[in-house]
Amino acid sequence: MTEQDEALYQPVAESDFEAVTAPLWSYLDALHPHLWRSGRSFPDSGPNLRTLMSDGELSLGFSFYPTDAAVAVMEYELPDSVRSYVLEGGTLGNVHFVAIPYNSPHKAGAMVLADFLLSPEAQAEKQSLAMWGDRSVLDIDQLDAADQARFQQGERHPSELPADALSNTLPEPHPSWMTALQDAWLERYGVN
Amino acid sequence: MLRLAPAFIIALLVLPVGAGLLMVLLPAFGYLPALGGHSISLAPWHMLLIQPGLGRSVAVSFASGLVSTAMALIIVVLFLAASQGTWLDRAIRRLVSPLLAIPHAAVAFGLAFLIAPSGLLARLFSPALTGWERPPDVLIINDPWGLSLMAGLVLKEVPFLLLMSLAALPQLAPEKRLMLARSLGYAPTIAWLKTVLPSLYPLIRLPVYAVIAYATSVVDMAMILGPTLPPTLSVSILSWFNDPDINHRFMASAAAVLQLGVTLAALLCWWLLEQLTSNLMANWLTNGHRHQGDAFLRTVGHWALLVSTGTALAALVGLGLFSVAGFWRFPDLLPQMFTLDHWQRSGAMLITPLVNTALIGLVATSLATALVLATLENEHRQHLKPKRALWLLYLPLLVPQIAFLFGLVVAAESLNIRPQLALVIAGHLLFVLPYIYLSLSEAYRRLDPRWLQVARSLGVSRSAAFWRVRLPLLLAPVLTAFAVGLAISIGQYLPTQLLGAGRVTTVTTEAVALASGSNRRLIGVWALVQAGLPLIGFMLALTLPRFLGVGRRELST
Repeated sequence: MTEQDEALYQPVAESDFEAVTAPLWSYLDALHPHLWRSGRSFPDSGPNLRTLMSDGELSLGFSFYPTDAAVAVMEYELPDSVRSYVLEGGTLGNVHFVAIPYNSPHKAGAMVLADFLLSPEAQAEKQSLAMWGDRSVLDIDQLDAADQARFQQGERHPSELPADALSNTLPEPHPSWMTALQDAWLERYGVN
Repeated sequence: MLRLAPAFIIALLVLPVGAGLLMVLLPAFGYLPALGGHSISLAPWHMLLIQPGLGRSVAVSFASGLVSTAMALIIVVLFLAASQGTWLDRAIRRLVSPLLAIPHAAVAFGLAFLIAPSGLLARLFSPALTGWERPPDVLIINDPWGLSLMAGLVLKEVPFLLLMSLAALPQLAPEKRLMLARSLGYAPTIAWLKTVLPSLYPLIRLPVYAVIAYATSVVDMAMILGPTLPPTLSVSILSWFNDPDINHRFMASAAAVLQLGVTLAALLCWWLLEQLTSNLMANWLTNGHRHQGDAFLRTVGHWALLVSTGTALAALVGLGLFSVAGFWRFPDLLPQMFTLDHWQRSGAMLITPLVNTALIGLVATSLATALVLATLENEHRQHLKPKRALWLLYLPLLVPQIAFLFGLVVAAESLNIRPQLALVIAGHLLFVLPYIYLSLSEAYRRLDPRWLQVARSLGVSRSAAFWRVRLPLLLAPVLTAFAVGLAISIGQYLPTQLLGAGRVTTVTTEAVALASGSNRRLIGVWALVQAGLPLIGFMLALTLPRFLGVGRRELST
């Protein structure tokens, strides 16, 4: 929305927050009356959004997982006619990470666990639609044949996002933008 | 040994609450060395006060506590006044204790699915009567005034207050009062309200206060039914404590202190209302009107409780349907297909939480029952009047959980007590013990002392008289208290989650965790398991005495 894309990739303190976000707020102000419940209440999580779709309250929902719709169909939450697509201008992309508390008494153990989470076994399990359905962060081509076989998980589910759909992945803004936007949003729309 | 029991019980309950409050109070004023807060400051309060919507959060917490308690109390009082011992009245009374056992979160989910625009009620009449092919765009759940939250709270408070009233009533000999009033020409409902209620209320005052304290600070129900922009104060506190930016903890602590203030203010306001009501009613009690309003009050009394009990049951039916539902489109009243998939998928995951739940519940409840029995037996042997200090027993029920549990975790951590199963059990004891005391003490004190005098005169020692005469005679109330204790323990979310650091999983922590996943089918499975566990306890409590005490039935009381 903003003309100053590059500002989003610097810490928020280095740019004029008001100027950069002005178009966003005028867009949201115009959008709110047309939202579900006229923007007076919002679902508190992605899964909650999916439940609203399942109840027929919404016709459209967004998700952070390319396979979310497929998993929901398999769990009877959504009808099998549901399809996934990506916005024309591309979409933000990110990966999961884990952290270890600074005063953790078992740092070594936590690192072993983190290594396990990155292993081909765990990543393949995570990618399985019956488990979670979230795609792996590993570069499958660099694995040996046995590990590559783990990721051969059969036909693509018709409801999941086509594999090539995510070619236009946009980098995330500098993390400081998230808290700044969150606070500003709450200030504007947090009380109705 | 026995003489130490009351002091021990009070220390056990007061010290953790005190330590927890202290460790919240210090960070609220900027002191928490682990996070670099070395000096006293008002900065956390300044930060708290500029949070958008804080005033509304406080107002909704305050109002939902008072309004829901008043509604529940009116429903219970009018039902008791109107109830004439018909089969319907008896059936409703019997339904009450199982309803008490159903955890708050389960009722909240069920209610949400019942009254949502896409819920069961709307489906019942759609599209035939309403013409709705899509759910209407109306804000019912999460409404900004907290009305659906209040409705959910009423559903859970009614069984509790009814059970407490039914336990207190026998000592007032209501039949005699009613007979006298009826002989003077008073209509039944008016007679009850004028002769029994004024003596009953002081006996259930503490439970009423506990309900207010709970309702002003409830977390799980408010997350599901309460407003979202802004949420209630307790929900905001939880999100601030869990904020990835750990510096939010200072503000969260200040908010927890504020929550304590809101709860105390609600209690004070209720106390003022009590005074006002008793002044206003003084004239009504003695004005000699015998019939005015009888028919109206009786109708309301019957229907209000019927509606609230029926709603709670309908909410459970909805959850049950979802636990076996395939795809279920609006406005279908029933799912397109039924499946056992959800139960099968949950089966293996249920085992550890089930074992933990049973272990924690049984150990905590056994310890609490033993301690309460020791205190009561000591009171009896020393011929003591119930001590005023025992009022402190109710401290954990009157101080909001969210105000002291986070501090308690910090206190335990600074004593190098790591989160573990034993700590969770100790935490549950805080909440189980007062409820067991609440439900057992009256039956204990009312037991005819002559049974024990006869036993003693036959040369039986004091402790043998306790084990062989008193305990068997009190088997039914002890088992009921045990079942109440189990139900309370099973329903605990925050103490389990915080004191176990999320590593001790119980059915309730898993159910609430699933709630964030919003998969109603899985929520249905877990909520039914969660509701079923305490039910087993109550059924055992009702049937065991019949098997064990066949020859003694005539002796009870």
